[in-house]
Amino acid sequence: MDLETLTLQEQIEGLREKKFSSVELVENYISVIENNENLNVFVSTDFEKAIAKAKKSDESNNSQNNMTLNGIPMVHKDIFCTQGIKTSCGSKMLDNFYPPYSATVVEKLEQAGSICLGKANMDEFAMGSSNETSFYGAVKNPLNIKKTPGGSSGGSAAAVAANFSSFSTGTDTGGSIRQPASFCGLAGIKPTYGRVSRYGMIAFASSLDQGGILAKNIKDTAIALQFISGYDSKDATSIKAEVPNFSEDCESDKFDHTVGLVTNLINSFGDEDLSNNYSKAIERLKKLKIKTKEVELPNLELSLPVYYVIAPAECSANLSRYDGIRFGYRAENVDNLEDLYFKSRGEGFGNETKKRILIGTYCLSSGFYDAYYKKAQKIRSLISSDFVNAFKDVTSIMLPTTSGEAFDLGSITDPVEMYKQDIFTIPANLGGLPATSVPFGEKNKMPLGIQFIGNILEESSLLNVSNKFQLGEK
Amino acid sequence: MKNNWESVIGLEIHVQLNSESKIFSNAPTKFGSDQNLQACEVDLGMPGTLPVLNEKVIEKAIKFGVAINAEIAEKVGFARKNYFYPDLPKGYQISQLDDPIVGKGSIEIKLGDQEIKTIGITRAHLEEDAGKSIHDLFENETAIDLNRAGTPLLEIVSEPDISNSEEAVAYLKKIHSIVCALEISDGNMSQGSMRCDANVSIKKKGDKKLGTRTELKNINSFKFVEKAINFEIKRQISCLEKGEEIIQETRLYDSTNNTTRSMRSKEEANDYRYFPEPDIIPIQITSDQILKIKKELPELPDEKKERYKSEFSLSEYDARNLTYDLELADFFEKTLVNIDDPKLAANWILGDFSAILNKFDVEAKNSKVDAVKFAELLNYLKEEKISGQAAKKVLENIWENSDISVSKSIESLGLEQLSDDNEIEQIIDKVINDNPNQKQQFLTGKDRLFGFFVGQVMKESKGKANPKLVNEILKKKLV
Amino acid sequence: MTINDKTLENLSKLSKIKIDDNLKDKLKEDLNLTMNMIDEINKIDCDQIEELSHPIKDNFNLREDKVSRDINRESLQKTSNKTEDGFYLVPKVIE
Repeated sequence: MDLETLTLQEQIEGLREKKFSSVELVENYISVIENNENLNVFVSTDFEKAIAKAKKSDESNNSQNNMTLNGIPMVHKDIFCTQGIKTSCGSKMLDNFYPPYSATVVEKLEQAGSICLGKANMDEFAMGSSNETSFYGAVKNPLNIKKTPGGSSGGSAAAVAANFSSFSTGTDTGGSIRQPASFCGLAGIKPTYGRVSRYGMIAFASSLDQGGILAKNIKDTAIALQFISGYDSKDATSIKAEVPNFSEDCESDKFDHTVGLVTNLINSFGDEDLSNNYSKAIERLKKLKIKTKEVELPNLELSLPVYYVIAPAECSANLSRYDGIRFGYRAENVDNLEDLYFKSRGEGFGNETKKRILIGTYCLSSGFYDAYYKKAQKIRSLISSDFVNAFKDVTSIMLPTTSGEAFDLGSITDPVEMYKQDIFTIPANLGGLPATSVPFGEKNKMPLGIQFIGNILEESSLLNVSNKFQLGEK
Repeated sequence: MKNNWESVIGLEIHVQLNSESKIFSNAPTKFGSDQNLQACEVDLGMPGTLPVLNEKVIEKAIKFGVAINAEIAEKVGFARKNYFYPDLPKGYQISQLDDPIVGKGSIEIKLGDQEIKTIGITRAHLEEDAGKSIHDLFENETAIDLNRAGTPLLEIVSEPDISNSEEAVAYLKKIHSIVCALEISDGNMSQGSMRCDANVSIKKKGDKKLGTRTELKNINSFKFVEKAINFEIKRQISCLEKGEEIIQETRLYDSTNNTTRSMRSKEEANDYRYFPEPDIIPIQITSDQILKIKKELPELPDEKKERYKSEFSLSEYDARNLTYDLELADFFEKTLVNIDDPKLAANWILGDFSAILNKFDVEAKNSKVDAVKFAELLNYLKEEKISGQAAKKVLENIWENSDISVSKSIESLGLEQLSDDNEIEQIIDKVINDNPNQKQQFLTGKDRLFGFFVGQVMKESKGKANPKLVNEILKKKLV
Repeated sequence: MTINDKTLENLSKLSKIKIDDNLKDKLKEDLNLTMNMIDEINKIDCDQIEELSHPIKDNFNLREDKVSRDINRESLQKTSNKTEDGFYLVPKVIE
């Protein structure tokens, strides 16, 4: 049996039925990981600790009662703080950062019994769509090593695609879970803003960031999402709402779906492959006898410029704490305090991060605030209202995840071309809405993804429709 | 001030609120612990940490708003104020810009016995305090202590309604008495619980247009407010009279040299790039919540003052001075438990008792003479067992020797009042015999000399003779 | 051109990021490409619309006023490159 190819659900069942042990699972993964170091998936690993934990898990043998993830290996995006374990956020700035605390997501998964194999590479501070902005170099797409795995959760996606783990954590500010999931042929979910605690998740853009899950299929994302969801008193924006049983709801018959479509909008891009894949997805919905309805999202295209004001503005403040004083990179041989600031930040941040800080600073600076930041927040309001209106008639909205398949590493040099990667994924972040990406179709032998956007806190219905769609006709 | 100028002053007072934990973290706020032992990862701005607002801080701010009859915001939103400084861990301060929790209000200050002035309060908003930079501890480095980082502050901004340093002090004292009465701050100025910036400008008398203002920073005592403002007014007048222009700038008050010096001019001032704090969703304040706080509001200084006037028939002056300092008022009321003479108690508390507190730099609550003992002393006085002069000596004596009782002190100092008619008569006879010339002059119509005789008798009795009896007997003897 | 040398210098100052001379031109180009894309928002008239700063409204959470933290200074200061006697150190600031 190739343990590493099993889904999360199969692993849980296998451990329960004692078909294999947690140690076997972990050791299997380690050998796969060691044979594929060229993919550059990890910033750090701790296999010894993982094996020790697996042994403990096997011995405890109280297994699968309430600790469903007991003994299951997994991978964290290196944006989640792990106590005593390096947390770099893909940046030279934090190359020496060993946090004295863990993110809530990390604690929750630990309590559930899962075993972290390592910390996954990512775009620096989650700013990028190709993993090329990482201080540790780009991750390679396991399906074709010339291609990008997407970003910013590129390492998390590659880890699952390369069979380094059955699921991984990621974060999504403008598509950073869904786009890499799509590029690597995986399922991914970004839940409702506030469903998953952001405590200990290093901030990029606070009003957009949300943690989530990447896995081989939607059912697995539902299983794992269950364990990281829920109110956290350490995050004032987390939502005090009961967490439904996602894995049960995922396969339930209790949901009545009407999927919103934006056919005209997709066709307006004039990209035949894009339109074709979207049409095929509609056909699948019809075959599954899921109702559909055309909806209007008139301001959708403004999401991109709006996002590139708001996200950089928030990041420009969020990244001010990296001054070399209390943590992180500190430049040597400085003349005075100003010099310490300028050099530490100048040398510690990579170019893309600097660019975004500068854009954000510009949009907030005296004389430009109204024209950029305030204006963007107004349009964000419009986009959010568009969704509210659409959800009066439908239970979810279907969009492509990306406009195309994974591209060659190094092939996009125009920053705006790179930013356009996120055109279909950004709107859900602006509205705080949950969204999934489901593998569907392919182009140039690389996978494509279809995205479903759900209403606020309606992850159950969203997972249910995504799962039906992924499974296709019975 | 020279006659042809007038000054316009506005104060920004930063009040540290006395919550147990910080405004956005559950680290303790208490003053004086070792460096960086009260700064948790949230206060240090460590990656991934998030602020969560302390509910008590909201309550305390509303209390203040209600006390000054201000409008309380329905929506309380926070904003990030961006600037770099080593004692500001996140590189931004979480403050309020557009939705301050407390809107327009006002307070009354009393200047002379009769004169009342209303000072407008523009707003009061919540924010987090920064840490401390210590420049003189290491030779080549500045040391950063972040214990104070995240301590809740209420910044109270006044209208430019203040005309001189005397009014500024009266206003500051009034705010101090209000926050102390509300128990929302310990009001300890020496520990930085209340700090003040002053915006000062001057203009020709009668001019409508305001002059260019400077902002004075770093004022942390009532005394320094007065000195800093007076210095700055003088500086500005001399500038203008020399034909120079006032530069709009921030100036630091230097209490050691009693001067102000330029920190930075507004042109090179920071561009703070305020924007709404995404980590904190605006808080809704309900009218029920405000009503509840209103009902539970303690007696405010003005209310207390009115009560003192009506209940104890105190003068406006005495009532105001007693209620300025809540601890003094408290001591007053405790004293009254054991003596039925509010006027006497007020006089002594505002007079000799306050003087001795000042002399030893002690607050009323830490007085070495408690209210019970103090009342006992006043009772001796009231019953004319000792003279006023003697009471002063006893007060000092029991202050310095806390284990000695009032009666023991009087006895040991030999200060019991002399109320024996015969003994007093003897002394009076002696004084009259010793001063025949004065007696002659008195009898020929020099009434003023009566005082001379009283004085001599008191001197002769070492201040112990009962003045009332002295008066009576002396009148009989001299006529 | 929206972002010229002077703007770039100001942005560098505000954000305290040193910008190497050899990167300046490429950076300016990239920033201006981005700003051109962003300028799309100026074609929309939405003065009457209220801004949206938080995607989920009316979800404010407050904290009880409780101290519940053991602060381990040593462990917190391990992440710093320069501390002494419990203080964080920076080059001397002359006020």
